[in-house]
Amino acid sequence: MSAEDILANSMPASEVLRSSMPADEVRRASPPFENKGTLSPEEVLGSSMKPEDVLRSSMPAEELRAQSMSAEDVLEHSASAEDILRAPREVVREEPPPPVAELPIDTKPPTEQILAESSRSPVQPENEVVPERASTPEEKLAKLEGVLAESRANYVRAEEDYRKSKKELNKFRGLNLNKFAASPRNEEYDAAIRRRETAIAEYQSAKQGLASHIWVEKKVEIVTRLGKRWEDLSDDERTAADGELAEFKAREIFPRFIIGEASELEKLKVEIHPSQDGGIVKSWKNGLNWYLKQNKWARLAFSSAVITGAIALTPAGAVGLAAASAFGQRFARGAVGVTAGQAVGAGVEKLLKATMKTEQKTAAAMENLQQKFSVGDFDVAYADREYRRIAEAEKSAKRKQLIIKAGAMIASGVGVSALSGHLLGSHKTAVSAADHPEPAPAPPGAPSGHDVAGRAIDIKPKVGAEAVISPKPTAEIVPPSGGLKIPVVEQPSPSNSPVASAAEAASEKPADYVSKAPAGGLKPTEAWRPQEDAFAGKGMLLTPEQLHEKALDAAATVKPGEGAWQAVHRQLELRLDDPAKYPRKGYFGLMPEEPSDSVAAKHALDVKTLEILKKEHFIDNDGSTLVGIKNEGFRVRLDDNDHVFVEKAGMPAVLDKSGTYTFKNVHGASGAAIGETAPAPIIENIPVAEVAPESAAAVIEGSTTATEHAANISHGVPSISETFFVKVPENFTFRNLIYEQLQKHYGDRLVEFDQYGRDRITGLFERYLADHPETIRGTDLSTLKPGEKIDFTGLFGDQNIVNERFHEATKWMLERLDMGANELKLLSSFGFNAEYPPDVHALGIIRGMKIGDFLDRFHENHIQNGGLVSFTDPDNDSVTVLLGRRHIKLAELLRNANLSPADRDKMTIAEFLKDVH
Amino acid sequence: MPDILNQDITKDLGLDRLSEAERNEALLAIGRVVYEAVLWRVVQLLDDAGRLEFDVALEQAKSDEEILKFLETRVPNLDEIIKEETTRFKSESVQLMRGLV
Repeated sequence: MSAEDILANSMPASEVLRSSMPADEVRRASPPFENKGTLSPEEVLGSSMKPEDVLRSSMPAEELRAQSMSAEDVLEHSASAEDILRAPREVVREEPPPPVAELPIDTKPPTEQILAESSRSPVQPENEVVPERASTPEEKLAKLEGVLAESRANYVRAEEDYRKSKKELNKFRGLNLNKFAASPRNEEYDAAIRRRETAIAEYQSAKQGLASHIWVEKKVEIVTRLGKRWEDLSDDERTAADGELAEFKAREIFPRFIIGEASELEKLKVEIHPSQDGGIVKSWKNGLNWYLKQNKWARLAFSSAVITGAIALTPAGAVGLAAASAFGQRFARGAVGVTAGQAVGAGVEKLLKATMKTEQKTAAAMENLQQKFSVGDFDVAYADREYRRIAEAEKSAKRKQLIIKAGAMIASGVGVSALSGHLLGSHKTAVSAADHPEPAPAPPGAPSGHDVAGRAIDIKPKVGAEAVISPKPTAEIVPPSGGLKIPVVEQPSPSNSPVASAAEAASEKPADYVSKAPAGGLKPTEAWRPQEDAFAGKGMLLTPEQLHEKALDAAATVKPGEGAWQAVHRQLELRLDDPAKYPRKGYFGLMPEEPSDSVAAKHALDVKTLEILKKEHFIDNDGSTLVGIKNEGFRVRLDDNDHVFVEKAGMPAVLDKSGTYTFKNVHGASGAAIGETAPAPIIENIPVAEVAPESAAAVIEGSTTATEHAANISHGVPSISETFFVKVPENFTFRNLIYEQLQKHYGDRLVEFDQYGRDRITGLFERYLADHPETIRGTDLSTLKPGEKIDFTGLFGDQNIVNERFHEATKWMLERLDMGANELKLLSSFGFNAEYPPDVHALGIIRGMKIGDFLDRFHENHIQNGGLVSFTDPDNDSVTVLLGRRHIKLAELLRNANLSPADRDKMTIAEFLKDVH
Repeated sequence: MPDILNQDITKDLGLDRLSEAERNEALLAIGRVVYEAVLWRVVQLLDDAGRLEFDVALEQAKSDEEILKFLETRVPNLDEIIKEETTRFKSESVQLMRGLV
């Protein structure tokens, strides 16, 4: 029997593990786990174990290993393929326990039964009496966790052994000693492979075992709660239970067993990797840091490709697009297995070519275009113009095509749409019915009004009756510079129109296309949004500007169960990736290098959202009232000046403040409250006491403000995780309390400073508190006792205060270097950033070095190895400074100075640079 | 027969049950996991000089294009590695989730 036959006939893992075969042998008979990727999904999934099987089969790794033959034994006694296939089928089979669903709830819980069986050796005959275990569920869980931890460690060790063995083998191969080294080396290598495969199998089994245990426990919990057997559940109960389980899978199993386990493995790999091994770990960490600094949307593009198996970029404007077009595209391409020749934009290219190749196709496409947009006033001349642009683009602008590809949304990738968060929401919401609602009839004689920002709006309340928002009649909608006229109320179907989409994608922005809402706000008479929507939809291609608009639209759109908080928060997320317009430091109070998904960034987003919503009176200052936007499809839009306004289908509603701090309601110009009379209430005041009674406690506890709490509870906002509330411990010092808080909330920034810098920062906060006791609600520090509570929200929750202190400490560190202006200027020209703490820290180390030492290191690392120069902080040997390009310039300067050997040996770089002019 | 590489496993992982923000977080975590695995293999394929060069490139590069160009030059089978790690991640994840019955 060939190896292929063996693989083709291999048993499911559960059977394999139940068998009496030694683990190594088992793996020989079964394809290595990592090779399953080459199998079809059905084949891969076909081998999935049921949890019962898994639990029954999971046994301590040591037991499995004890039964395993050594690699040599395996080779010596290697069974024939027939033996391998026959053997497992000859072992005593256990009847699988009934499915969980069949177990009556009043009997022993399935997990207990399963675990009892799991303690049985796989070779135990069924009729052997197995003593009942009296372990508690916690003990069982701990046991399974222990098995998993051990098998995980074994796996990583086996992986490392395999790597070493492979390296060794390659070394010998490199020496062309194959024929001599073949036997011992290859055997060693083969053994390492088998050990690795066994370890992988054990690990997967243990992981599945624990996950299944937790899963079954969850099911037991559900049926226990319902007091029924699973099969007795009504349809509604079953649906609810299924939903709960699905939630459980997503929220508990996925993060722990897929993400968490992968992270654990990587962490272990790095930990056990020999530190002297050529800087692999260092490079890996550097590469990982680089990845984390990639634009969030680029990373989402890659991730979406991984999960959906389809490429669809998820750009969020030009900035995100640019990043996605390089890293995101490249890795996404790899993740779906297309070659460079079938790159991301392949589908787009095909579309473009299909529509541009011949005149006949052009004519047909034009006809199609006309049909699709056969609204009375559709401007065919405009489409014609756009169409010609496509041809020109095809002939002359390869680069433009690349941009088109990068910006293309292949809307048929619905899965991706469903994944990319608000970007996908963009398609669904932007062109859905919610975006093109039937307008409410415009009552006669309705006056025009203005919103709080002075934006024009038609508010036409019926006298004494209802107030409605009415769009302008179609005839009045005229683009700023003429051209395409798209009716606001009746949108043309945005269905498949490759011509239109390609035209729009390929063209320059039409003269009459207003890509962004004007700074002063939106007016119903502007045609920018309808135009944009006209080009959106399945198969449509959008320019980066359009994509950006769509992303903003989607971000601003309120979805079920959401409110203003989420809409504004999402728009700010987009801004986070547009540092050119919204500087991280200046706008968000973040370090420029901060990754978009870091804790600090999330916190900054939360803080900014709160700040804006308070300023705009969506949340009042005392936290007693929260304004909820109740209707799905409404947009809560954030304009360039951070004003918030509500709109629907491009028409802003009136947000009329009646109080300084409390947003009361929405009123039309006549004073009629729109919220009371619109078909459905669009805005509703939510007394905090009703929706979030805990908020009062929150204020007292100081974990979050009442407002934040209310917002979180009423709209499911992810809780602001950082709590600044501290219980004073025994034997505390105030300075320690501050330092602990800094570490807890700003540890990632603190680590950029040396010990002196950290002391300095702590001192700065200490001094600030002494000067501003109100930031901790006037707590008397002199009488503070252990057990009492301090609310640090006013200090560590205020980004301005925090940033100022960090900035001050950076300045202090720089001053401490005692650099002359010329020196600073010179080093800055080399690339040192005097405002970036790690650079300042590095400068401190470098400047203290002797010139000779520096040049020796430079020579050794750069000249000889062509690599990076690194230095260890003399005060902390765990800190290594990498200088990169800057060191070359510095070294050149030092070498060109032609110092004597004696000077080089005794003079520090700082001493030398003092004299630089 | 569809290859798991091109299979949408959104539902298998339960991501369709998550809120938008949670889903994005989950996606970012998934991307990181796969990237970490790819990177681990990539840095081991580089020789000492290559890794130093990689570090320098990371330190000095002005754009991700430069990094990618470097990787593509030094690791010709980068696509294959990404594909393998993606496949492995998807296979393992789906197997685990579908094993929960």
